[in-house]
Amino acid sequence: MSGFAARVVAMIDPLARVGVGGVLLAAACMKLTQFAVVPAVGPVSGIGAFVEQIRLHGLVPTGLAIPVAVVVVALEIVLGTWLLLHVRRVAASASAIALLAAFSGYLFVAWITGAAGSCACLGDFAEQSIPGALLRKAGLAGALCAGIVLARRGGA
Amino acid sequence: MIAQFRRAVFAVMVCAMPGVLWACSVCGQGAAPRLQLLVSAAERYASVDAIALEAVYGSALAEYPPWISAESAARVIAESPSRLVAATHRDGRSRSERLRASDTDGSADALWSFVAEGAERRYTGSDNDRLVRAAPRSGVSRFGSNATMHVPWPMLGRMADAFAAADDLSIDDDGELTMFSSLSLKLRVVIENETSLVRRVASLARDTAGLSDGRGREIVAVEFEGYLPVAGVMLPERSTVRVSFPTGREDVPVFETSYPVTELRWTVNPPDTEHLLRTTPSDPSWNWLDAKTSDVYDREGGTLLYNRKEQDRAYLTAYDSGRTPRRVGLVVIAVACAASLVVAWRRLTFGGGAGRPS
Repeated sequence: MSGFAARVVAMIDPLARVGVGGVLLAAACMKLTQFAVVPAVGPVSGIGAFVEQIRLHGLVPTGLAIPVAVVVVALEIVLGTWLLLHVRRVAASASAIALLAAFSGYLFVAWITGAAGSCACLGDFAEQSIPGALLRKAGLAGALCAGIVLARRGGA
Repeated sequence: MIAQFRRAVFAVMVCAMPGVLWACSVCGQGAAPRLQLLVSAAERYASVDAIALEAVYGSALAEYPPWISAESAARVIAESPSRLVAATHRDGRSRSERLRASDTDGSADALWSFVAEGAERRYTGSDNDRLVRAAPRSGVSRFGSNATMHVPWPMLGRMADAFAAADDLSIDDDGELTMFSSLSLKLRVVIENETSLVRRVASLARDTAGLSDGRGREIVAVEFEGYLPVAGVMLPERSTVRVSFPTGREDVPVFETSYPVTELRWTVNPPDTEHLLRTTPSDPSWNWLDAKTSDVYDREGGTLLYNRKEQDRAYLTAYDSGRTPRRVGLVVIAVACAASLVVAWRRLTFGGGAGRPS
């Protein structure tokens, strides 16, 4: 690989980390500021709306909906910030990939069981079908993987 | 040269990121709530002339609150008209752009014309005209399931025009006419199940005996208006029936014809006000709805269940509460991403961190 190409490739890793980190933080922000009208509950805002969405999916016991919602948002914030800090980069990328895989697993189950028609990843910011959400997560995870691999090859 | 290229790439990224996130924060105010408000605005605009529709927009469109006023909905929508445009692009870009110009005043008229004309534009005529004319003139027939919305009769008719022209129209055994289209909203018209209708009307006749309307006036008669689905196709408009019966009757033979109830009105003594009886989203049993104020009373007519103005305010407060934090949060994230890119660029350029150029 030429020197120019190697250095261009070296840029992929930080760009992927910043991109995924920004998406994770934005997703947490959307969840914390969303608004929804829940049947038999009424208007709900903030993380409460995310909790209700998890309950509506029915894949998590009702009593665990709140802790699950809190943990999800907290993980998004922590991992997003970690990725932006460029500290322990490989570990950060690997953790983010694992989180994206976990989200994808949940969405896949919701998809095949018909529990949900769209993901609640971005709150009320955008309605996205589950296949679309899975593709997006695969793209984000793929970018992080590519960044790790290319950075190691380039010795970055 | 490599350093310049690298610097240019990062500079573009750093500069573009705040702009992208800002645009997201402006237009991303939430499609589903706005669509709910859009339809509810139209419903309020047409007052009580409504029929229950099930809306399927993704899966997030929940029951909309029937107490939202057109003015409030219009105000919320007007705050970010770009989202409305984005939400309606599937229905034709030209129409959406015209809407953008007319919607900025936030008037209920603009919203109403959008919803109605958006469907009318797709109308193809022919046999579908018969179907549309047969649609109920008014009434609220069903609540209780997810994503139930109410739209006024004129909008329903025009939407039915549009959807009936589509190939994916079906009617199931329960008498539910399902119509999907490529519009941003997929709608299912719910026709009351005939069996439950008979039961409900008979029960109503008994239950209303001796009730008051919340103002100490006894209810002496109940009137219902219905329409007749035959073999999955609704008959023309003239098939609509309007029957009045005294309360307290155990036998209501006229209703054994199983006309689906679409609206129930009752007459009080003295008969100075017309009222409407219907269910509410959170309580599928019959309650009293004041046709003038949209306030909902319990079955006994004495306890106020929903104060429309208060609920309206609560709805909008909940909606507004997340807007400013969202914008602030996105700006902070944009700044953090930009700073992170700068750090990454410096590491790549200078090596190791924010040190001197190597």
